[in-house]
Order: sequence, then structure tokens, then C-alpha cells
Amino acid sequence: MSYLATKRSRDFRRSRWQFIAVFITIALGVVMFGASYDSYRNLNVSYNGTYDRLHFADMTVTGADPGFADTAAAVPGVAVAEERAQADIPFSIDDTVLIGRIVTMPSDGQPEVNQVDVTDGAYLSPSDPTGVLIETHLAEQFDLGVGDTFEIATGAGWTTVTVRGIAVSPEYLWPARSRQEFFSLPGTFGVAFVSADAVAAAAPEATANQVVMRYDEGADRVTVDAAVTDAANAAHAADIMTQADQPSNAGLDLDLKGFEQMAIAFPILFLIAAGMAAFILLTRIVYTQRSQIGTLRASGMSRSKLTWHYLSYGLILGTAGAIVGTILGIAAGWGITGMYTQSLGIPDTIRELRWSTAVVGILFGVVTGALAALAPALAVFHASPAEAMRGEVPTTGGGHSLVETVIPPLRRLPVRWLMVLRGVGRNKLRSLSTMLGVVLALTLVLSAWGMIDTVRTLLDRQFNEIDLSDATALADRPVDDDLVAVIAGVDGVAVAEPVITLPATAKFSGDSYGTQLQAYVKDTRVRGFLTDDGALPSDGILAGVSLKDEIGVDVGDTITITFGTLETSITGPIRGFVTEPMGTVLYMERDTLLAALAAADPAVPETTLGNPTVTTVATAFVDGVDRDAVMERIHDVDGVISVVDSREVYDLVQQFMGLFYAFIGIMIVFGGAMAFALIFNTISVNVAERSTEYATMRANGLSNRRVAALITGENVLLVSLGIIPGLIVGYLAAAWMMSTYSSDMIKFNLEMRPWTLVLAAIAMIIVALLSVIPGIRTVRRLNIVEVVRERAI
Amino acid sequence: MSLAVRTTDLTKIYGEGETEVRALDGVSLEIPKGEFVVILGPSGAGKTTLLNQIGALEEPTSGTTDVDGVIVSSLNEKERTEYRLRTIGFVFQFFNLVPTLTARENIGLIAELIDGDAEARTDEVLDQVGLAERGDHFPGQLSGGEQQRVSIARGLVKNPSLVLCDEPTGSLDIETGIQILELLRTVTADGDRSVLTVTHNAIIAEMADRVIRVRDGVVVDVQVNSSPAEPSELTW
Repeated sequence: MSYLATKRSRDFRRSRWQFIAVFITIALGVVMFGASYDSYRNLNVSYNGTYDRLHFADMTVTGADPGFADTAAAVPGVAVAEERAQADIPFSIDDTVLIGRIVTMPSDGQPEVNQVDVTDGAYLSPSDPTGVLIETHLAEQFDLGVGDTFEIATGAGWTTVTVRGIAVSPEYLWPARSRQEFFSLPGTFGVAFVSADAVAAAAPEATANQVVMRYDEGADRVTVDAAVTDAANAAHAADIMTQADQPSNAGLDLDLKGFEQMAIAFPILFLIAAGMAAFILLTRIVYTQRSQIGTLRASGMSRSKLTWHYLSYGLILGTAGAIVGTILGIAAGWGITGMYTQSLGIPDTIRELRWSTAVVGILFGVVTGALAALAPALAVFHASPAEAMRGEVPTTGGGHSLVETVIPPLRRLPVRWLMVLRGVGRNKLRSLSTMLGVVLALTLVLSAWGMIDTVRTLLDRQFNEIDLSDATALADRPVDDDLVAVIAGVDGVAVAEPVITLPATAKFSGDSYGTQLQAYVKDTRVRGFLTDDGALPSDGILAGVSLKDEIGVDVGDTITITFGTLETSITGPIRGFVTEPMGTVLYMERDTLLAALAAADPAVPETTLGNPTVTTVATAFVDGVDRDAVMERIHDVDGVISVVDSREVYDLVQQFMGLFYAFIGIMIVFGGAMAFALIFNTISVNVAERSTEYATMRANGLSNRRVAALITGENVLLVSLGIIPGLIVGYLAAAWMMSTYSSDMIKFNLEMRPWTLVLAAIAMIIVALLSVIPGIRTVRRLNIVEVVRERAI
Repeated sequence: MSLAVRTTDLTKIYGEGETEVRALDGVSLEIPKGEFVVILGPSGAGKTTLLNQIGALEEPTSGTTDVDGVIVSSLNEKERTEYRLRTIGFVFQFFNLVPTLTARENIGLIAELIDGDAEARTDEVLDQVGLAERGDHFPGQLSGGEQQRVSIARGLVKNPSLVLCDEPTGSLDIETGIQILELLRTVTADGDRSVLTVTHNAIIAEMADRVIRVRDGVVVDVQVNSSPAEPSELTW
């Protein structure tokens, strides 16, 4: 090993904790990149693997004219167009009645589009007409196995069916009933695949005919989507859904987007912080070694050799951090992929070793190290050999601090306070680096914390300001005033109102959007509307705000609402928009809707709205009542087949928040580590630079405690200065992050509590206090005589 | 008499306008080979600037410097580096040792820049400066005098024809300073190498073969000492 290499390795050893801090920060950044990018890519490949293997539909058209399958098959780019039927009807499993969905498939094999993967049991068979396949989430929720039975409600009443197999479907990897009911409560929704005969026997108004399509391999999706949409509109389709809009796929895509963002935004934060920390450290090393550099140059060592020597510090550091980070990141990415696919029940878990991830990860680290070392190395390049002739010189010129210049009376402060104030501006670049570290750390922390605040606030809004019901009763008949009156009379029920919920498609100027129409009585007390007057319009439609973008509609425009299951449509004016956290729903007054349906062509009388999922009774309870007891009493009412607890969804989502807490915990630890690394390095360098100064102070009788207070005061002041821009940048970053998650399904407008900002600021101060401890310990251990004699770090 | 150094109208100006400082103002001098030369002068006289010019650490504003037949002032950056490597050995007041390298490694760091057996040469100069037993000690474990010896050894390991010293005893006590001067005196013993020492300590001039007095950037006197004193006879 050359002596320069020996020098370098001993420099590393001498400032090992600072180098380790930089190394860890670089490694963390690269780990985050490797883990999130590989998770993103692996999950993408896993999903697509499942989609390809099971021929997931590229397009689904509902309620088009008969014969549309042939029309669709003739569209250039469409490889297969297949008919099937789907109906939402009650299932009765054990003592629970839930909204089930039956989907037809051939009884003698797989369909060509939207195949299923039977993981237990067997496929449908013509010899077993009552045998059905149930989707895996339903099987897990009710612990159903092959051979078990349950009942489905058909036009002929309750019909017993037998579980013939448990199946995974590409349409229900995430079991969402629709884009408006993205968070379907386990136990309130399930899917069964049945032969065509079973659907024919179901309630006709619940049945929708669908055409599902697969495109040619390599077909231009946008072009084919447009052509199919035109054909479907011409065939009076009620709903046109691309693969991207399919609820399960869209939900999984949201998750992927999260990983994709993490793969870029967060690693960049870490690598900037690591770069700054390395820059500070290496600048300091070059500075303290300037007389040695001058001596070596005076002794004939070439510029390039010395420049490369100092550049190699950053390169070695970056490469080491990158290699460790890449290995751990790829391993973590594989682990996350496995856990994720397992928890969601994705049948194909594909983990690929991507050299691109390793190369980019290592490049990230190496470039960070190289950039950090570049400026110090260039300083070496330009160093004059005459530096060797100079002794130690002050690092900066003296002078009043900015705040003293602005407020001159501050100059009369005690000297120790003035030292703190002037220390902040003593090395401006280093001070800015510390502040930048705080800004980066707060950005990381607030991005995560903003998510939990937003979800909490929006959930409160959804369940305390919008959905005001406590439970919804499903009946085995069209809901009428008598049934509502009986339920209203149940002990503990404060309010009972009839509600109509219909799958619907809103159309305007050639654009359409598949959604749901909900109709409530005038002055409803089970639903809140976030409008100026908080009321439903009496003569038109209130719509979720995303409809504006989806179909280009505005207040006053008249839209057409098509009901696929009713095979009719109505028109009405948009009277306003509501911004709701979940879904993009159309709202009408119940009487207005019934009148419009009665006047539609073909007309739909109220009495034919018999499907239990269409007409329901929403209830609100008396405060403080025993909820379970009230729901049991409602369940006992004649005609009620099921009671769904509205609050259960809220509780369920609150449980899911545990994952958010874990996520935020990790982010806070990572953010804290990042801030610690940067502040620790800055303080270490400050202490090293001023060791002679501190030693002299100690020699002159200043106590250790006083010196520690000076160091702490200066650095806490610096961190505090960084907190202000940090909170602003962090807030904006959190808002941007949340906005990227927003869609017509879920609205994530940032809602950050003021307390979050306060707590984040306090957390940074705590990190600052922890970061100064090693520096203070160093000062305590200073050998005053040695420091004054040696004058080097 | 062959010359080690010749400067002609050497001028060095720092800054410009009101802040202009003429550190050297038309200095012309000749230094024969094999002499121990002391450049004397008060602080700010231009001693170190003159040393920097001869050592090719800085470029002159005008004039020339000829060292061993090499016109230093006409060299480009790369040639200056090569010149310093082959011709000049430096000894600084503040030692400027790499604190993370041992004495032997500090010397080896320079030795390995030139051809030949670096290790053997390092051991040789360590022995020459009397630190053969202390070669594996770090600078922090050495006394000030020992550190300066390492610094001298580092300058000598290239076998330079000219050793330039900038206040070599400035950071040392009398006793140690005299030991260092004795060591430097031995460098010229073979008559091939010259030592040029800058100092403000007039006592050191008594041991010089030649004393050059500088004031305000001008050589005010050159005195040849026919019977220089032994370093051990000096005191201050």
C-alpha cells in the first residue's frame, strides 16, 4: 500500500465516526432506493404476470346492445371479446347476509378473458350445476372450504350452492366492489363464479350483461381503447371501463405509485444530506491539511496525484455506502415484494435480480461521494505550495453577527451569548449545510406524518360529517314507507330513512364515467353534504368534484345518467359539486329520482326496485345506546335480511392505521438519523476546528459546562433557524405527495394538524441536542497542552 | 566557482494600486554551491518571498532565477513540480508533518515519488538525522526537535542540490534549535549541496558561509564569512 493510501486509511480511522455517519446516510439512501424501486418493479412484474397468465380484461363494457361482442371483436386490435353476466345479489353465509356478486363463467372450463386460478378444489363442471367457485377473500373471511354450502338470493328465493373451488381472480386481487366502494368491509362483499344458468335465475334488475375483451399483444392501448369506447357508445353501453380504471387494478396501481415515489424522492433527500455531510467533512480535512498539501506540492508531488488522493475519499465512501446499500436494498425489496404479494394474495410472486437496480444504486452512492469530494479536491488542485510556509490562520474574519448589525443593542449582551450568535455566521457554508439537513429531515418526517394526519382528518370527515348513519338495513323486498316506519320505531333508533343506491354511468359530451347514484330523502339526517347550505338540490344532481375532470362537466350542465341494471337512463342538471374523501358519487333527492325513473323510457316504477342492494334503510342511533343490541333488534324486523354496521368500516380503517404508524415510525427514525448524521458531522468539524480555541478557554478557566453550553447554544440556534424553512418545505412536500395519491376514488388533500408541525420541530431540537453530545464529550477529553501544540484534527 | 543560485532583477509585487506591496524589488544575487547561506531580515523584509521564488513556489512579477542552470522563472507548472521534486528540499518552521503517518511514512511519502529504493533511502536519511529508532513514532509522539528532524529528513530524502529552510528553528528552544542547525550544517559537508536558510535570528548568521541581508524587498548587504562559527558555539 502506498503511503498516501496509508494516510487515507488513517484519516478514515481518525475521523471514523464522521465517516461512518456519512457512510450510513449514503447506505440508507441507497437502501431506500433499492428496496422501493425493486419492490415497485417486482410488484409490477408480479401483477402483470398474474394478469397475463389469467388473461385479465383490457376493457369491460357493461349494458351494451345485444351482439356487441361481435362488434367489439371486429375492432382492430381486439383479440378476443367475450360475453358474460354479472349480478350483485345477497349471499347468506352462516348467519350473515352480505352483498355478493355472481359472475358467470363457462361450466366446462376457463373463459378466454378474466380466467381464475383455482387454488383449492376444482373448476366448474356441467355435472355439478349447484357448484360454484368462490373468490379467495370471501373464502378466508367466512372460513369456507371445498364442499361447504351457502345460499344466494335468486328470483326464486334463497338457493343453496356448494363451494366447488377457491379461486384467485385478476379482477379481485383487491376486493373492491366498485370505484366508489373501494374499501369494502370484509364480510360485507364477496364474489362467486357461477355457470350462466345461476345468473339467469337471479333478480333480473340486478343482472348486467358485460363484454370483456383482450387486446392483441403489442396493440396501441390508447387507440384500441378509443375505438372500443366509440363502438360501445354507439351500442348504448351503460359503462365502459378500461383496465386502468378497473377498481382492483387502480387500487394496486395507487400502491405501486407510492413505491415509485419513494424510489425517487426519499433517496434523493438522503443522498443530498449524505453529500452535504461528506462535503463538510472533506472540506475540513483538506483545510486542516493545507500546510501538508503545500509541503507535498513543494516537495514535488503533482497536483493530479494529490487531487485524486482527496477525491478518492469521497469515491471510497460513496462506493462502500452504495455497495452495502444496494445489497440490503435489493434484499429488502425482495422481502417487501414477498410480504406484499402474500398479504394481498397475489398468486404470482416474481422477484428478479435487476442489474439496473444495482448499477443505479451504486451510481447514486458513487456520484454522491464524488460530488461531495469534488469541491475539496479542486481546492487541493488549486492549492499553492506556498501554503506550506504559513502557520494556522483564522478560518474566517471576525465581525458582528447579522442580528447584531440589525439590532445594535444586542451587542451589549453577555459575551457568551454573543459568541453563540457570532458562531452561527462563522462558517456560513457549514451553517447552511446544517440548516439544509434540518430542512431535508423535516421534509422526510412531514411527508410521512402528513399522510397520517390527512387520512385521520379525512376519515373523521367521511364518517362524522358525510356518512351520518350508524347502520344500514337490507331487506328482502323493495323498501317502502311501512318498513321504514317499523325500523324507525325500533328502540334505540333515532332516524330511519329509505335510501336508493344504483350503479350508474354519467355521460356528457361523449365522455362517460362509471359511478353510483345515491338518493336520499329531502333534509336527510343520515347523509351530510359539504355544500354551502349542506342540502341536496330538489331539482337536480349534486356530484363528486372529480366528475368535473372526468367528463368535463360544470354547474348548470345537463348530464345523462344511464343505469345498466335497469336498462334505462335519465337526464338532469348539475346543481353543485362536493369534495368528499372517498369516491365520486352522484346525489339526488329520492323523490326527484323516482319521478325521473317513472318518466324515463323505459319507465322504472318504484316497486320494481326490489334488489336488496338498491333500496335500503339507513339508520342513526340514539346517543349512548348499545349499538349491537339495536342492530340485533333491527335484524329481527320482518323483511330485514342483513344489517351493515357503518361504524365498522371506520373502525377497520382505524385498525389499518397501525401500518401507517409503523411507516411513520420508520420515516421518523430515518429522518432523525439523517439529521443526526449531518448535524453530528457539522458539530464535530466545528469542535475540531476550534479545539485550540476551546482548549484555550478551558486553560483560562472556563468550565466544561460553560463550553458545552456554548456549543449547544450555537447548534440549537442553527437547527432552530433550519426548522422554519424546514416546516414550510416539509409542508409543501407533504401536500405534493398527497396530491399524487389523489384520484376519483380517494381524495388526499393534505390536512396537517398544527400540533404535527410543533412536534416535528421539537423532534428536530431533540435530535440537535443528541447530536451535540459527542462534540461535548470530545471537548471534555481535550488535552489542552497537546491541542495547543499539535494544531491538527 | 559554480553557482547554486543566481537571481537577476527579481521582483515580486502583491496586490495592485493602493494595496500594492513590493515584496521583492529588483533582487540580484549569486550563491555559490556548497555554502550554508543565511538570509537575514526583519519581519516583512521579503525573506520568505525570496525563498519562495528560488523554490518555485511562486512566479515572479519580473526578473529571473537560475538554479543549477535551470531558469526557474520560465518553467511551467508541471516543470516547476518536477524541479521541486528533483532539485529542492524544503524545511518549514511548522514541520508540516502528516499527523496520521509515522516519521518513516512521512519521509517515505516523498521517497516513493522518485526512482530507486525508497525504503532504503528512507532508512538512510532517518539514520542521518538520528531518528533510526524513532521511525515508527507518529508526529504527536515526537518532540518538536524530533519533528523538525523528520522534516529535514523528508527534505533530504530526494538528495536535492539545494535545501531551503524557512525559520527552521523558529518553533524550537535554543538547545533543540542548535541541534537542528548542526544537522543542517552537515548537509553542505560534501560541497555539492547548498543550504539556504531564512531567519530573523541574527545569531544564526554567525555559522553561515554567506549572509544576505534583506530589507524592504531589497538586498542591502552580502557578507562572506571566512571563518563561520560552529553551531554549538551559538547562543541566543
